[in-house]
Amino acid sequence: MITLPVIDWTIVAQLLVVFGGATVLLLLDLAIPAGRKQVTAYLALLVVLGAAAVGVMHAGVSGATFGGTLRLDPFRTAVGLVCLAAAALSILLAVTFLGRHQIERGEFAVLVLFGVGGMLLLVQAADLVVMFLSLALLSITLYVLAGFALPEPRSEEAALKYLLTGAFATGFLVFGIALIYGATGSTTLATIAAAGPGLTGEYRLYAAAGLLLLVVGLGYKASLVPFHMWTPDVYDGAPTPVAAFMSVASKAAVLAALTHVLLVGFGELRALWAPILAVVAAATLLVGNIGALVQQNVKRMLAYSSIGQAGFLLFGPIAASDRGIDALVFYLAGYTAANLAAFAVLIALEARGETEWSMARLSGLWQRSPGLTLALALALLSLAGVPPTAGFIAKFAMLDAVWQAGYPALVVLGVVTSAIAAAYYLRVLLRAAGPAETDAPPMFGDWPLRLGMALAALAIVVLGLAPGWLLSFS
Amino acid sequence: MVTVIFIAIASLIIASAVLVVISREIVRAALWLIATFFAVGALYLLLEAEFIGVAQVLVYVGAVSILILFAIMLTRQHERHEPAWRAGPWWIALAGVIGLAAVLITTIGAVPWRLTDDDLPVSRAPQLGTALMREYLLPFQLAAIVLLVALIGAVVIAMEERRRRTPTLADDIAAQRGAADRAEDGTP
Amino acid sequence: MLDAYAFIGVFFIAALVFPLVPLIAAWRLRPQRSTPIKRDTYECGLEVTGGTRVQFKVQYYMYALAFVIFDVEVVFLYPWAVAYGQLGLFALVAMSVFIIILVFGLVYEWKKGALEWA
Repeated sequence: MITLPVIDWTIVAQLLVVFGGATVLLLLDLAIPAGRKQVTAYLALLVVLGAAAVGVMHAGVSGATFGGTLRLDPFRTAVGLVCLAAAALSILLAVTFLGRHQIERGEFAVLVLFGVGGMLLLVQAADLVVMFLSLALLSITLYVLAGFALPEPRSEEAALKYLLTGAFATGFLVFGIALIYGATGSTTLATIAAAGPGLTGEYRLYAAAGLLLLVVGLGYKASLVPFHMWTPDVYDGAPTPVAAFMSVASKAAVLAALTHVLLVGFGELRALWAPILAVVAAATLLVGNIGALVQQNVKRMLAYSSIGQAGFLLFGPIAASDRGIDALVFYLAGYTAANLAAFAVLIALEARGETEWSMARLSGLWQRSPGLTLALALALLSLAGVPPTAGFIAKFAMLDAVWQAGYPALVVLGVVTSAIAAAYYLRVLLRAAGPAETDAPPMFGDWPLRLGMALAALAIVVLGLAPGWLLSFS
Repeated sequence: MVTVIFIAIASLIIASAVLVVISREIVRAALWLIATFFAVGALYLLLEAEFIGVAQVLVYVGAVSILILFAIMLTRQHERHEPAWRAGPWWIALAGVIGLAAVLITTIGAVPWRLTDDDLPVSRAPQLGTALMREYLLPFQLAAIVLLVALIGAVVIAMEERRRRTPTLADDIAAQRGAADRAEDGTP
Repeated sequence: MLDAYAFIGVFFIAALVFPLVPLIAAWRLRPQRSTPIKRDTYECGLEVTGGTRVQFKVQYYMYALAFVIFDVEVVFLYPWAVAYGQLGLFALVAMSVFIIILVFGLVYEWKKGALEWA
């Protein structure tokens, strides 16, 4: 009798909740009449909260299942919780947005659930095949979500651009996995790491080439320079809550996967990848922040700013230390809260049929709605890294980690680009505080949107004032 | 003998793949792509991976190619167009391809491949079946979820497409007949 | 092992020669005079209407996609069935989960009306 895999149900519980909930909701949604699709969204929210509850119970749990291809440890649990929080807030922000834009369909919440399931898998994967499949899963959901406002040509364009660049990136990823398998005879990160020191000349070259292709494939998904070109167009064309979700959750999951590949699978080749990654991080910081500086469209500005933030996120794997990993988790949490809050303000000001999100529409916001202006200010100040917000602690922790790892040039660059970033964030805030330039656009303040925005803003402040509890968690 | 067969199959793959890229008509490009898939299936047979070869023919030649052709027939493009490789600076792409090929050929040539006379663990159907149920159980179940999501995505996008449906052949003919009738009425 | 394919190879070559010979013979023997009617598309003797490229209904695509998905399922089912004797009940459960997930997709597609031709 052949031994069958022993499945550790504690570890897979979270995934079971998400995927089980998603499939059940898919069928349940068929029975929900067209005008009441908000019910589906709230049910999906319940599923996400249930999964998050399992995640909280996973605190401190470490283990592996499915032959070591799926792992759980505090880092994975923490990043998973960030993804779940992003999904929950995105659903809250989207609930009324979709109806207002007449694109309300039950599949939205179901796809977000499948997407966040893919992200959790990508974070927990310890095997390249599982990583590839979970990346495919989350990519497919995001392609469809980007095109969710389909009759809208911009949304269609966003979906198509994302699909084509994503398919191209997947090619790199598969090729990289094949090369690594050819060199080491395995796709499991731990086995690859064990095979590493025994690799002689040509095989070593092969594994290194595979790793580089893998980094290219993941770099596309995390929009690292020079693989970032799709980001502004896709964020700009996708429905705003989808752009918010993509910009935070998929980035968190891909960064976690990249960290695992580099540190667990190829820790031994660090001398090779660390300088390359440092150059990529520098380019990402510069291109993202300088690109954001010249944007007049707020959504595109946030897209470029998210590219710049990805450069900071790379400091985590570059530092390759516990300090760097802790900083990465904290940075992801702070960035998620701030970016979602910023997008929430845009959602509150976006009526149906708006095509261009010009900066002039934010002018005079302070006179019309101090609350929205406050949320926007908190979000942008946190993204810029101004104390006492979460962004400040996050940037500080990251800079500290790379300083300790011996990259003073990156520290200088991080500070300089943060100053550039502060310039364009402040420009938006000054516009909001100044006089109105256009006719006052309508504002929307339904309770799910307000709740989502308030939770994100609260997270920025709490993480900024009491960072200890999150750091102690991971 | 095996080398001769390999060279025949390989040149078939390369020739049809090149034709995919340079065909003027997108339908022809798709048909050459099917030929490429088929030849790759033959390569698997040459490697004595029968199941993979049959699966290649069944899935790629039999199903994916149909999907590609239907997707082309869904588009509205009625006229001939320059193939994509002439639209941009194609010599850059050509240089990139040649560079990549040079790197790959030299690297693959440099590696002393570990050859084995034994069956590979997953080259035959029974081994593949047990592997799917054991080491690859998680990817296997994950594949089902990926397929499900692809189906949902297609329904979400295609149903929207249907709501703002563009005329089909029957509608076109009806419209043309109508126009012709009106023209006849107008010029007695 | 490969010798078994030599037999198939003979058939393959015969299958290539068989249509090529009449085609080449016809090309050599026929008078090479072209007229517009000769170059017209053959449509069962009817007069040709419209172009050759027409836009298909999206339903074709939906059916093709469902076909691809269940085709892939069959490809997975085959090695599973061959190895089933060694695997036992667990394999049955695992495959059932796999199929049920896909059946959910079919039910969804059906109920959404994506398979309706109207």
